This record gives sequence, structure tokens and C-alpha cells, in this order.
Amino acid sequence: MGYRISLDNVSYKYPGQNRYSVSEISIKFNPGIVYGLIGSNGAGKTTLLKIIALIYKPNKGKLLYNNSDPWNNVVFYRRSIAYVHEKPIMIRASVYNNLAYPLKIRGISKEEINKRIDRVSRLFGIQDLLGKNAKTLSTGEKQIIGIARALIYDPEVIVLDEPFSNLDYHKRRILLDVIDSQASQGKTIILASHDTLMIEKISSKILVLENGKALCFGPTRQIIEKLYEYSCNS
Amino acid sequence: MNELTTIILRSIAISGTATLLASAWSIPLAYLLSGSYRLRHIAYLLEALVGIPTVLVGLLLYMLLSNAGPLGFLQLLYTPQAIIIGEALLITPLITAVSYQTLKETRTRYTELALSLGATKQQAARLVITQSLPNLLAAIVMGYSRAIGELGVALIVGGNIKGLTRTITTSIALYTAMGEYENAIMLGMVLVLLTIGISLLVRLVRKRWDIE
Repeated sequence: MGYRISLDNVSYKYPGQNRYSVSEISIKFNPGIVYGLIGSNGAGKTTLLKIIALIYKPNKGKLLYNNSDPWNNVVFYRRSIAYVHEKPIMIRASVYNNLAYPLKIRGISKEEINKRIDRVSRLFGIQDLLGKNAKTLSTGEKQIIGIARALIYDPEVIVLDEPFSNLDYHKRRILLDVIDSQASQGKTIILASHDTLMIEKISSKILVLENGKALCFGPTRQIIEKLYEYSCNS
Repeated sequence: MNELTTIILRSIAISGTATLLASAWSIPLAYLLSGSYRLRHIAYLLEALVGIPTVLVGLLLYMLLSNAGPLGFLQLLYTPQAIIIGEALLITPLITAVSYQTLKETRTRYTELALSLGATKQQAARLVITQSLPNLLAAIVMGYSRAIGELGVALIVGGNIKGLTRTITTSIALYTAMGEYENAIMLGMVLVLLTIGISLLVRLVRKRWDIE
């Protein structure tokens, strides 16, 4: 079961900057629901996702996982979160070792690692890539490996930054099915995308960000209509 | 073993030890600096010191190690150890600055990746270092090349003593002054071959690590 994540007046600014990249965001994310995050470039989507994924600690405000402060036991909570970067980062190693990395750092046995890699590579259709050097893959292949690597440890919270951007039709279909299946298992899923069509298709609720602030939040259909009518207000 | 061979081997050993010593503190220092916004000014200072004249380092170290100096009691002046210390100090800014640039680029990316995949801080640091190894190795080799080719420190704190502190560069200076150009040119060629050879070796290693 996923976590109930709540943000209360959360703000964050990067070291050395005067302006807050994310400012006074208050929102609750519940398990079993897919949340979409949209906004123009520089709106604060990636920063907010990194705050939720416990990569950045908010400068102001409160972030809670099931009413607990996750920063008190951050490694424990991080191990139940999958965060996939917008630009996939590959470790200088084979695809197999990239997939094995999160399992190795958890001390999982080699037998179990092989079993999970086999399962996830079948799911995403990447069996042929396992022996390849991850650095030599295409951006789309890296993207799908990044997603597979994040889902291999069965996380409770799934945070995806522009997951569809480099994927072909077939891989998008697979990812949509995976997201659907994960949501039905009660995982908390938050994804950011420029692709409003994909967001509309997959998410139940949408948060619109502008200049680091929450512009509007609500059911997908309602928010999309508001966006088309330019009447989105917080 | 003839004198020239001894000089070449001594130079390799002195510069190699100095490089190992400098790397031992420069790379951890670079890692520390790359993770702190506040400490970035130290990195800028070290970058500015990359081209510090070797004679100046030699002079400062001479003042420290001479009998009247604060470290005179160590009796290190005109010993290979004094050259090792001097060369290590000389190449510290170079190794630190180049490693800092590498780590600054890779640290954010790989730390974020490691943390997002559930790594502890130590596991994340290990990933950053292993992913930066080819470039860190290049920084070490740059340091070694500068150390083996420097003259000021070796001459001032080494004293160019035959059989003890005579290195390739001090020998070249001496042979030139004595008009023995054949030996000077031969040692010069060895110096160039050593630098090119190490550079090629590193290139091969980096290629194997698939950085290019």
C-alpha cells in the first residue's frame, strides 16, 4: 500500500539563489490514485517531484508521509520511492548491472536479483539489452531502463518526471499498463509531463504549477476544461 | 646500473610517491569542496594556484626546512623526501582543481541517482567516485606529469646531489651547464617519452572505461 503524502506550505530554493523555485505548495496525494503535474518550463515541476521523492529537503513548510516526517528516517522512506529523472542517468556499466544496482545496495541475494531482472526485463521487453553497455543506448532505451530500474524494487511511491518523452508508441502502451497496474495495487503515483494528452489519459487528478506556485488542483477533466478556458485559479 | 638509469628510476620514484601523496589528500578535498556551495571559494583559490611557479614553492619549502626554519629540526633539506613533499605541494592545486571540476559535474547527477534508488550517503559517495574514476585518473596523471617535469623544487630543496637527489630535470640543467648536451638531450627525450607514454596508457584505460 502506498503512502499518503501531504505537503503543507512547502517551499524550496536552490543554494545561492534568492528566488524560491517552489513556493508555498499545500497538497495531499493519496494512494491508489495517479496524479498528473503540468506546467510550463521552469514552473517548478521537477523541483516539486524531487521534494516529494526526498531528494531535496524543503526550506520551509512540512512534508509528511502517513503523518510522519520522512526526513527522520530518510533512507527507509527513500527505499520505498521510485524516482525517475527526466533525462535518464545511466551508471557506467551494463544494463544488467544498472538494473541490479538498487537491489545490490539493499543486500538482496544474487538469485533474487536475477529473478527480478528476468521479470522486469520481460515486462518492459528489454531482454535483448541486458548485456549492452548502458551508456551506448538510445535515449528512449535509457528512459525505459531507468523506469525498469526504479520499479524493480517494488516501490510504494512512484514519481516519474516526463516518463513518456522519449518513448515510442509500443513502450508508451507498456508504461501506461504498468502505471495502471501499480495504481490498482494502491501505490501513490505522481508524474509530470508536458504531454497533456498522456496526462489526461492516465491521471485522475491534476496539479498545475506556475512560477513555483500551485495554480490549480482537482479532477483531471475539470482542470483540463479550466485550462482550455484560461480560468484556472488556485 | 649506470648513472643515467639510476637518475631516471629515482625521478620516477620521487614523482610517483609525490603524486600518490598529493592524490591521497587532493581527491578527498575535491570531493568535500564539490559538495559544498560555501566552500567553492577554496576551489577557486586552488584553481588560481594551479600555475604557481615551481621555484616559489621550492623557495618557501627551503625557508621552512633550512636549519634556521621552523621545520629545520626534521633535517629533511637536500633529501629525496624534501623533493617529494615539495612536488606533492606543487601538484596539490592541480589535482584538486581538476578533480573538483570532474566531481562537481558528476556528483549532483550520481548522488541524486543513488539516493533516488535508495542508497545511503556512503553508497552514493562510492557511486560518485567509481563513476568519476576515469577522469580522476586523468587528474592524477596530469599531476604526475607536472611533478616529473618540474625543476625549481628539485633543485632548491633537493640540491642536485649526485647519487641522492639528482633527478632528470636537475641533471638536464647540470649537463647543459657543463656542455654535455648529448646526455641532456637523451634525458630530455626520456622525459618526453615518459609523459607521452603515461598519457597514452591513461587514454587506453579511459577508453576501456568507455568515457570517450
